[in-house]
Amino acid sequence: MLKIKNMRKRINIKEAEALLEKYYEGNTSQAEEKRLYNFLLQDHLPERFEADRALFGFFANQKQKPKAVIIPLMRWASIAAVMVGIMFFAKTWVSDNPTNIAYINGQKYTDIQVVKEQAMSSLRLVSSLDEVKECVKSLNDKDLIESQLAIFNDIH
Amino acid sequence: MKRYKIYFLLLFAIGLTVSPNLLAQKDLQISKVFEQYGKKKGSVMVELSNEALGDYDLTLFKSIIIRNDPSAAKLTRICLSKDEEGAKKIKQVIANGVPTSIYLQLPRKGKDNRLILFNESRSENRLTLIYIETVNDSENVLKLLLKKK
Repeated sequence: MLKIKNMRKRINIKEAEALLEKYYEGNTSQAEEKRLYNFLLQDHLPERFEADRALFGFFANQKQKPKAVIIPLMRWASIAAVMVGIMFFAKTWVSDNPTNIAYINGQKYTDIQVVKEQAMSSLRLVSSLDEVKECVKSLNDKDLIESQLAIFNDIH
Repeated sequence: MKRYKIYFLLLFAIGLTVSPNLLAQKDLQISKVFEQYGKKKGSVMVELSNEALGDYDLTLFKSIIIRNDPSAAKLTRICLSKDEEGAKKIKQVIANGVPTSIYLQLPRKGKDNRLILFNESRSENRLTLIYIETVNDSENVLKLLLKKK
């Protein structure tokens, strides 16, 4: 039984080697390649066929790989559309929700009258009527230089 | 990896839509003063935009009054000294070598003119800091703001 098995292997191995030689020369037909492939699928083959098995295994994996269905252009177009939508929505939401708020000793107030009142009192603190005239004048560069130089004159 | 790129792009797009007012102010050092002291006891912080400031024609008005806090005064002066770079100093009052009143006209951000008004009263242990954005001429806005009380 073992002899017959071995003879089968030998027969197959010889034929396989011949076919492999023919395959690497690029002269095999599709049917011969299929026979070779089926031979290499067997287990317990001699080690010298490992490289050939790997080669056929690689091609086999490639054949089994499913074809890609995704269309890249459509995907990016949909992402761009979503981004535009988000930008439009966010822009509209932000512009429709102006901030009018006051924090007094850590307490939050949103009553517009309270907020305005606090704003006005802060303005009063940074100014006086005399200061208005002075600072408006200082917007002119020439006046600004002269007024700043005047500080040094006062020191001397 | 592709998924993360998509998420990043989406976040970037959302970030671009943030109000330009917020972006205009955030690049300034004085924003630290508002952030650190705005909601503390002894402080009064105000933020008004567009609609509420219709009479004054301002895009954004943000002010803070801080009482009895020397560290806040120190931080404010440091921040102002950095924001002064590239700005036009409209007014400065110095008492005993320390600025007590500063008006700055900052470089424009888009269509907005920007102003910083600062005042410190040592006798009352109080500082006032105001940040303004407006599409109008700074001179006219200052006249209007500081005359109306």
